[in-house]
Amino acid sequence: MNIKVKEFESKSKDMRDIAENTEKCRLETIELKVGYGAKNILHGINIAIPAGKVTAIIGPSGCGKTTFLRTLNRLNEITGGCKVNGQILLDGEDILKMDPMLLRRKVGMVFQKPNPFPKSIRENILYGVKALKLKVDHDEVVRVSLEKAVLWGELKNRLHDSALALSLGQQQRLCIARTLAISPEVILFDEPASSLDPVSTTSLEASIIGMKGDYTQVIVTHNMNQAIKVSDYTVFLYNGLVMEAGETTKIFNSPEREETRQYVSGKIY
Amino acid sequence: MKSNTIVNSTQQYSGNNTMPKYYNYKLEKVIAILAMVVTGSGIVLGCLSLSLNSLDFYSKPLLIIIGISLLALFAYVHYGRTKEWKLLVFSLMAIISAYVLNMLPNYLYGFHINAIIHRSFISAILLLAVSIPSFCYSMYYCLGAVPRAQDLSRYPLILLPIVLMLIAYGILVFRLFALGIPNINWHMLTTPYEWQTWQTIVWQNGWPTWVPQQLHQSGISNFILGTLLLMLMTIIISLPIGIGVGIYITEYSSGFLANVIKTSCTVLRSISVFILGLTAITIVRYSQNTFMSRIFAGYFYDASGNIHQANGSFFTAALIVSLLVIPIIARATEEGIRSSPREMAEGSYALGASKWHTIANVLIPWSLPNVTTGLLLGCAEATGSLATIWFISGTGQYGIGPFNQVTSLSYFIFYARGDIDMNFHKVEGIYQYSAAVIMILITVILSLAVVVLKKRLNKRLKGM
Repeated sequence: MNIKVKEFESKSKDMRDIAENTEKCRLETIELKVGYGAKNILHGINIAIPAGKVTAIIGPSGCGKTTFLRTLNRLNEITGGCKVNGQILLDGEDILKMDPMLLRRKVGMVFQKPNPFPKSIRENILYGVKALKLKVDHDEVVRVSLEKAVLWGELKNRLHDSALALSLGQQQRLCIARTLAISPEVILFDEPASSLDPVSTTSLEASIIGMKGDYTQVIVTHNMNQAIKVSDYTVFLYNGLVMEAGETTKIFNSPEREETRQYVSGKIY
Repeated sequence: MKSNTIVNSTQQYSGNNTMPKYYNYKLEKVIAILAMVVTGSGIVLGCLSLSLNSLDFYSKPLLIIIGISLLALFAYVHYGRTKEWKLLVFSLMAIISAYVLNMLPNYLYGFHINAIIHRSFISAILLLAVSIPSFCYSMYYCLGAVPRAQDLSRYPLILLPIVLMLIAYGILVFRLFALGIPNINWHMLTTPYEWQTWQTIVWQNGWPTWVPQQLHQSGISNFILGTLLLMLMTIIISLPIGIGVGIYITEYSSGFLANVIKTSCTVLRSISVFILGLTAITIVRYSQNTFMSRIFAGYFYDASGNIHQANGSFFTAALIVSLLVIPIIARATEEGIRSSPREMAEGSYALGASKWHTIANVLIPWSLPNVTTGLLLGCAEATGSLATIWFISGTGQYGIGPFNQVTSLSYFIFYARGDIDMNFHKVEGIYQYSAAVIMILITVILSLAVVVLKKRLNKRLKGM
């Protein structure tokens, strides 16, 4: 599939129409171009992420999903050598001009490999709170975050144990809990279940579904079943461009573009 | 039929299809064992004749025997199994060495080298050079020339140098302890060295007279305390600076400045320490007769209560020694931070932490075990530093403090019998080896403490 940038017509205004008509859109990208050094990865992305819903971003490897996600968080500036053009609006405010620390308070991220700090569980959850010097009740925050991540029952007596003693599934949910502790508006998931076994994956997906309505979630996934199960809207990225975007049922059952149909059907069976 | 299966199994490994039908493996093994014995005794004789001149007499016949046995092994293996030319090379080397040794006189001198070398030195080197590889080859054939035998037969090549070095170290340390431990007693460890003579006025028959008084004590407690204080002050100065430099190299600067700092760290370690000693004495000299003389040159009160200027204070010494210790700690911090998983730092940034918060709460705790190792190396550096504090140190008999005269156990070990102060020799000469034993003890205790500390830090800060 060789698609030249100029021949392509972005279909994402479907999603923006839907989002504007039915609900508020929380995040909006306008002509977003991202490149590392001489190589361009994203060639003009126009996407609107609706508020309170789960948006899945699918696409083959190397199409720029992770780069897009990390740009939403401005985490790609840590490595350096990254050029970002365009605008990303969070509730109307351009995040590329915002203070990164304040931005990351509103837009949290859960990584592919669970990365708890080598501290106690309680210290892990309170890390963001202490880093941003938020004035909240620490015990309350710990309890609420662990309840939302469906871990309070298992861990309420073990708050001072080391976080590295947990299983991988528990560690991943702990990472979700510590992201929730700073009360973000948007949560980004970068293939969160790819290093987990099926049972942990199911509980993770249950957590994600449980957080619908309170948080806007964007999840990058390779697993079509997961996308169908969890997400309300789907964006199909290919070679740094948005091929198709819209409601999940429409994309998976009756996609408009041939490339989407091939990609989606190739993974279902 | 049993011998047949043995023949078949080893035939697979020989990689050579042109073996004669009735190749006698037993005979090969016997010849290989003979060669092993002969070369083994060659190794032993070589090591012994490094220290004993009289064993040189046996080296020539032994070399000839080694040559002949290797030649026999080569011939048999060449006929039956494979072309092992190296055996021929070593056997020829052995025979040629015997001939060369025969030609050399007993004592070698000349070539504008003002030294006389006994022939046993040369024979030892030749013996070892020939015997060690030949031992490995004959062991290979003794074990049946299978691939596993190749691994096993190369172990002596690795183990022999280690064992020989350990034996040499063991002899040295044993001699040190044998000479030093008998003189250690509680009195010596707790009494400072004093050698002062002064005059006081005593009233006799109504007239004042000067009466000499003296304080002569023999002991090494002020040197021990001096070493510990030097170590402590060096760590206090170099730990913050070293960690700061390490953080700067990895996190804050990229490119030219970081490379300059990294290169200067390496270069600083290779400067001859005597130059740093000259730096120390320069600082002291320039600060004398100024208001800073108390800080850099040190002061002391003698028995009559008069204040004197010393020729170097602990502060100056700690400054100069930290120039050597800072690169160690900086390198250790840098390695610790670089070895931390990238996801952990990214996770911290994703939660909205600033760079400084990430460094202080995630990266520095992760690299603390490495920093502890750097601390140990720094302490060892401070303990053993004689050249850096040579020119500015003294006996420290007037007290030990940050601005008093600097002294150290290494200074004591040299001056106990090395310089021209006869009083010092008379009083302290017997404690020379004991001071060395105590220095080793300090280093051993520090190492053990670091091992324990590192284990606990690894468990707590890294979870492993």
